[in-house]
Amino acid sequence: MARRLGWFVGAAGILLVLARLDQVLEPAVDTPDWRLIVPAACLGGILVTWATARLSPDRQLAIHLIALLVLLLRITVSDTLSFGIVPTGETLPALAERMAYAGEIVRFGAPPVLAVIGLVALVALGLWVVGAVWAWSVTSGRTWVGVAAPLGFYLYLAVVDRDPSTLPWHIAFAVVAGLGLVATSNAVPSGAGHLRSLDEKALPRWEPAPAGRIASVAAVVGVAGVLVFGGFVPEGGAIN
Amino acid sequence: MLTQRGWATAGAGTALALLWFLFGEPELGVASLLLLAAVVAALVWIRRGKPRVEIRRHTSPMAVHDGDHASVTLHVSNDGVPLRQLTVTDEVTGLGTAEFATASLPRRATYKATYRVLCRPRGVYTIGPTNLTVSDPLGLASLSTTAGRVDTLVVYPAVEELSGLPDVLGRNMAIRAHRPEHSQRGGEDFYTLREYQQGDDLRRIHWPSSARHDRLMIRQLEIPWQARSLVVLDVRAEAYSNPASFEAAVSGAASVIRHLIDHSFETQVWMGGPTVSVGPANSGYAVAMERLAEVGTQRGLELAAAASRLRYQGGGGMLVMATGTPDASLLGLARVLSPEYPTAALLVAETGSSTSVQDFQRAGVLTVTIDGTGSWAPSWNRAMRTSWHAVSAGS
Repeated sequence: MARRLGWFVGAAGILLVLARLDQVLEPAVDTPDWRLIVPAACLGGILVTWATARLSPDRQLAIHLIALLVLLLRITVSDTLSFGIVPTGETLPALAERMAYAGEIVRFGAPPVLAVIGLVALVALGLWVVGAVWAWSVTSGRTWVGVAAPLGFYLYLAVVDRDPSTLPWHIAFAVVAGLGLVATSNAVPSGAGHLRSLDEKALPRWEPAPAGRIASVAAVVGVAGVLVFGGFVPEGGAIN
Repeated sequence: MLTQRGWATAGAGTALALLWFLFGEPELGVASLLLLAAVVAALVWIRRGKPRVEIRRHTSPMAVHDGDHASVTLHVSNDGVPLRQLTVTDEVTGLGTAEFATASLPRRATYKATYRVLCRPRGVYTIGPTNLTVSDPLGLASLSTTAGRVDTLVVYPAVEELSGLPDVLGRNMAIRAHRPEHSQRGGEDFYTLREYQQGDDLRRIHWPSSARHDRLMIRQLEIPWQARSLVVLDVRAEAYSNPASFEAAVSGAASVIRHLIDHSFETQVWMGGPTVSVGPANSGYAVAMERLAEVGTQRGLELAAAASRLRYQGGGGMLVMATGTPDASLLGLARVLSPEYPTAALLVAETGSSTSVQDFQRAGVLTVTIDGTGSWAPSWNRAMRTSWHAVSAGS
């Protein structure tokens, strides 16, 4: 049950990331809509991970790198590719130019920013990795990785978003993080057996309800604490 | 008190608090306070009270042969506050660890756990005490304690089913008796002292008693009615080229002891220390097997001294020796004991020592060499069948 809850929380974290991206990126007129490309990239990361699950880690990594390269070229400089996939002499200069522009926006832009093609490519790469990590956590049983990756990416987006988060965002994040805490709390050793009652009935090794109660309290403390103590933290942070 | 996961959570919470201060993003504050609050809640939860749990362990059987299974049942009773996330760990030292978990153990409830132990190799193993770990529902803090007593599980050497025995006194059909019989002509065991009668063998006059009673006294002997034997396990380290052959010799000795007891032999067992008496009617079998469970090789052991001692102790009957590579010292022991033990068998745990084995065969010792599969039974049974003076099993 904890594993299934972990899958759900990881997926919810990815949805939270996509929702937060909508705050950070504005569709540009002359580029494809990121709201199609980025979720598709995330799905691609998931599918490639599942498809290569039986291969060695080295081969998995190599396939992911090749797929990411193709994704980058297809999103960023598809107009310079021959047959839609083979780079030409114009590919590299065009790629460098568009990625440099995206880099400048990342460094100096104040969200919400225009989703220029290079930026869409960067976000697509990020979501590919998040999707791949989530799928790997599902296949390997390392639930916490699949929970932490999207929540970490979400926190990054929250930091770069110049608009301060509002209460609904706090609550949504606290709910997902609290559920993540519950999902990763099953610390029963994998080889442990069941204790039995005297009438030979096997007893459950883990129950989510008590963990859920503590996590609920922690989530409420988290949201309320920010509302209460937020005034003690410099607005905009100590680093300007 | 905090688990590894708890420390990681506290560390992440602290780092996020720092980032919150640096970047001013409230979401970082939510994450930080959530994690730190969870750690504090876990510590409060775990401090509610130390677990007061009673453990009762039942091991069945307490003594098994190598390769058999033993079953261990734990009864876990909670005499204190209700417990959450209880992990029960019971270790059989050297053989493995059994772990059980339950989400909760209510007050005054008794749960049980059963596990099986594959008992291998021979030895004496301790079970327990049981380790109990209680953690908070999030697994961030835990408390461990031990309960229950330490039990002992004895793993005897592996034994094989043997059949057939050589001809020994007490088993010879020609002179076999169901009760003591004293004979004018002979016998082996002292029966009584009586006054000399005309026709008695003058060599049996007991002079000290004759002097004391002021008349000639005769030692009356009897024919032994119960077959006797001496099993010698060669524990000299020099006799074995590897530990496996010593284990084979121990197994061979154990198999022979059981076989002899099954056939009502009164058996003495020697394995480097005092002899152990094993008979059908006493508890010596368990004592001998426990000694065999723990026996190891010794360096610098003199068989000649042991031979004199064993001869002095007497007993007579059949001699069975188990060794790795037989040598002159062991042959000397067989020769010293041969007057009391006219029938002798040698178990050889290492192949490739045919020359020294031939010396024993020339001395009239029946030799049994372990076969290629590491089994004694086929070789023993074949040797007993081909021995011209063997009697059939069960006779």
